[in-house]
Amino acid sequence: MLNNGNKNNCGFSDDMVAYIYDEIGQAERGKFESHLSGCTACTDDFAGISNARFSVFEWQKEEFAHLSTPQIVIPYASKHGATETAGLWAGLRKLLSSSGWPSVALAAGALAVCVGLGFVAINYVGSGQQTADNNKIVNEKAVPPVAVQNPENTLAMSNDPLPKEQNLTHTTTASAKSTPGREIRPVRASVKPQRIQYDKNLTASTQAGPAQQKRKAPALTVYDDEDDRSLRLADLFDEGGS
Amino acid sequence: MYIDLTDEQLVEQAVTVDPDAFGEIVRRWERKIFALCFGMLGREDDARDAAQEAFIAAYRNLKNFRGEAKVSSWLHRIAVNQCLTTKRRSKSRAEDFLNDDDGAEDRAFVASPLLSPAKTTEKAERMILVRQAVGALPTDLRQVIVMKEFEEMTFQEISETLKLPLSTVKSRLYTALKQLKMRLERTPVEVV
Repeated sequence: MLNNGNKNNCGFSDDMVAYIYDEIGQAERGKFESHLSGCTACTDDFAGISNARFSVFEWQKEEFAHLSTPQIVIPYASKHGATETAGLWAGLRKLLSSSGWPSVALAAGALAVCVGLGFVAINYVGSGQQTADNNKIVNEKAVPPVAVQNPENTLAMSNDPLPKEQNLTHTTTASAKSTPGREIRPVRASVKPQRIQYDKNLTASTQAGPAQQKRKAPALTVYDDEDDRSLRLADLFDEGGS
Repeated sequence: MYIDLTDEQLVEQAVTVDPDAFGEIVRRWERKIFALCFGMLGREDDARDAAQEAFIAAYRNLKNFRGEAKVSSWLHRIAVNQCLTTKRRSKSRAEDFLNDDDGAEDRAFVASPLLSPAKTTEKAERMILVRQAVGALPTDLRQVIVMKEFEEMTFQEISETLKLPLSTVKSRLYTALKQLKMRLERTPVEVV
């Protein structure tokens, strides 16, 4: 019935290995068992491959099954610490697995921590923006002392035939230009609010002549074209008065 | 004393004059009958019980052995029938042994702790032979043996892994076991 080849002559070779490894369907199992109990050749064949399979199985168990994955030990972790961590972890697991108020309290605590972290994160972002604003303000405020620290320039301006505001603007711009690393635009913007105050101090402290005090321009001219040297209404009145 | 006798001579001697001759039959075939029962039942304890019952049944039916078939075939037939009886008795347990974790543990072969030095030596020699026989298999056959026995993969998993038809996987496994059987029989280990 059998040859020495790779096939069972009764056609049960596939069912035979499936039966040995218990991966055979119920119908095929019954059919194969019925055949096996009546076929001597298949019985011998089945006994032979069962024996071979058991030899491999036994070899695997003897030489490989006892080989376990080596235990990984972290060298810098003390034994006490490891035990303590295991104890904490076991306790945490026990706490989580238990039902009732501890779980609720733990969940509430976790929620509070999350909210707190979010609040801190929002504050951090806000403080960063505020710092940027502060830096901008400091940069703006850093310019006027440059002009104030030069009283000689302001004294010289009093003899300048140009209006004081224009002189001041011109001087400040010049000083800003002479300062390395500074841009002109922020200097001009920062001068404008300071100009009126500086103008008052200038008229009070420099002891300028009455003609120059009369030539004080209206406030509107301060904010208009800085380089505008055209004839102004005040100049017409001055000329008319003189 | 019995070493030079064939199986058939031992049976005849056991029937006629010396019942102890059957002990030699058991010694020669106990492992193979156990392997057959293990192949049929899948559980070591059931296989041991079935093998024990098979040899008892063979001893009781010694007088019915007519010599038409080999003793080995006669023993195989008795063992197969004993296993089928055992399976019918514990059908539900046999059906679930793959899905049951406890069943999977029971399937593990547990070596007897009371092995004699001679048995231990025999076992060590058999392990060497099996290793050599597996190593001598062609690569495609050795591959399915390793995946099945060592990786404990199902036929379907092996089929998907190797991209082979399911029938080819079974055929390869059958061929591998047949070749292993022939290689192991070529260099038999005498049971002490």
